[in-house]
Amino acid sequence: MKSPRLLYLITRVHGLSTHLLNENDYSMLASAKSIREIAENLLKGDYATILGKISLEELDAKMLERVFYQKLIERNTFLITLSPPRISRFLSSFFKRFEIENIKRIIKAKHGGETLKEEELIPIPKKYTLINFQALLGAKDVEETVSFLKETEYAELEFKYNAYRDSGYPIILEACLDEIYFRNLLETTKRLPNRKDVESLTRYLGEIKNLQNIVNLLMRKAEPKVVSEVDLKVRYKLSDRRVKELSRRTIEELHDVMRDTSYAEISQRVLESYRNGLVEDVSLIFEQNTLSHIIKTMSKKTLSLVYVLCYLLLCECEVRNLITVAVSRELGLTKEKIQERIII
Amino acid sequence: MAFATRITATRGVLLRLREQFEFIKKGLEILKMKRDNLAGELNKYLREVRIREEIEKRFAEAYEKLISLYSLRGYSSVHSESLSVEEINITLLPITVMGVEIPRIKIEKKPSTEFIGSSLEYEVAKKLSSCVEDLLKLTIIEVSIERLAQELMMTNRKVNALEKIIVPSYSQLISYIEGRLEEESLEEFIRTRHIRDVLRRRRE
Repeated sequence: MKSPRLLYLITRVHGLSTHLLNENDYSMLASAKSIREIAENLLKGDYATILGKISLEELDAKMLERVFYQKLIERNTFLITLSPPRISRFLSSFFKRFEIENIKRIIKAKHGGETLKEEELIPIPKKYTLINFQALLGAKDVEETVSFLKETEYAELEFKYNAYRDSGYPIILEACLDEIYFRNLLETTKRLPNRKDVESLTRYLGEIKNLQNIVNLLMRKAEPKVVSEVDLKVRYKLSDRRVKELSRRTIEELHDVMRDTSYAEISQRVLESYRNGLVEDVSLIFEQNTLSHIIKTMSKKTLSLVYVLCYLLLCECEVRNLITVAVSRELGLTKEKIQERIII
Repeated sequence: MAFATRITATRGVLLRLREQFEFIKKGLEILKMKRDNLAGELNKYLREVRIREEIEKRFAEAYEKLISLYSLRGYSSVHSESLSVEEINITLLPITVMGVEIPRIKIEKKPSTEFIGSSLEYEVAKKLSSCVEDLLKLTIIEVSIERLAQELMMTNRKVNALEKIIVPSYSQLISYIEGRLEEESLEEFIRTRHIRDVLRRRRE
């Protein structure tokens, strides 16, 4: 028997998911002649609350990107406040993905010896983060950034610092952040209703992220030591043995390792794209696979808490698509090219 | 030969003019050698500048990939990834060829694209970085061509001026003075003979 608050949350999310953009909306946006026209079309939907406050005259894709992120944060925080405490804790943990993205951006900037401005981070309300981004932005290098995070839940980064320093790959620290994120997220699923559904989707997300990181490094012919350092150790369908084997192989052997797993089709398609030199298609394959998994889960688990998680992931997907539309329009890509890059 | 009228036709002037003429001829010879060398250098660079077409093609490809990356990831994500790449560090080394300063570029540090984690970003960064290196090479070639061509033009003008104006004028002037001096010496000889004849007649 589900609690009324959970049922209310799920019902509310069912309603909210009807606000998400569909294929026709994307087609209309892709055929827009300018950024202004895209914004005008978006004014009819959920984005009106933020877009209404901005003058459309001076709007560009960069500003729109910020608007999309703002809306995504709003959608997430709205559900956090709407949910019962246990679910709210889980959703807050899920929300940390934006905090992590910001930390990753800061680490990358420090790695290159560059400075990043606060406006270049995802706008997270102070209420939802314990990280002092101002201090992190002011750190002089990666080492200081990591030391500033010592007192937070990301203290573990310190242990990966030496591996990062020796190899020079910031992705090692990024993977460590992802690992902490997924571990904490899985921890909060323990006392949730429909725990199994939520946990398996979380594990799937972790595994696909892990696979994507490994494939990226294999495509770049990185050393096996670096590849094994980025292993998130979040497992869903793959065993430890198989992931370890994958990190020791080359990209050409990807399909041999994954042949009898549920990622056989992905590995086949990734390999084909790699051989054809279509690196951009590789990320699309992973994104497309994640979206299909989310949609499948949503259609099967309509009254489960996992539906809420799927909705939030769809919101992210919408932002990704909208950014693609806006940036592509600004850069003068054709409607057909834009539609090829949209994940529906 | 307008300036011939202003010149005193003396043996001293003739000697000085001959010295100057020798110096000018040597200078002309050196300038001709410089012109040939500059033309040779210029030809060498002109052969190299043909890579421009290929670089432009590669740059267009890299730019297309960059657009594709932007459209997939968005500006903020690509910008954040780009910050992880340490900038290119170059030193300009000036080299002199026949008195023309030609810059050489030494790449002290290449952009550190090898540490980019994502393969798509890495691919684009690698392509752009190699294009930038080639663009630097092309810039050096084009600057060298411009400077060499400028110097060649100046040298050519000097050679032409010497060959067509200064050398013929000096040659004419020297011949004129030589003629005048010869006339004067003949005059002197005749005058002396005349005086000798008059003195001989008086003695008789």
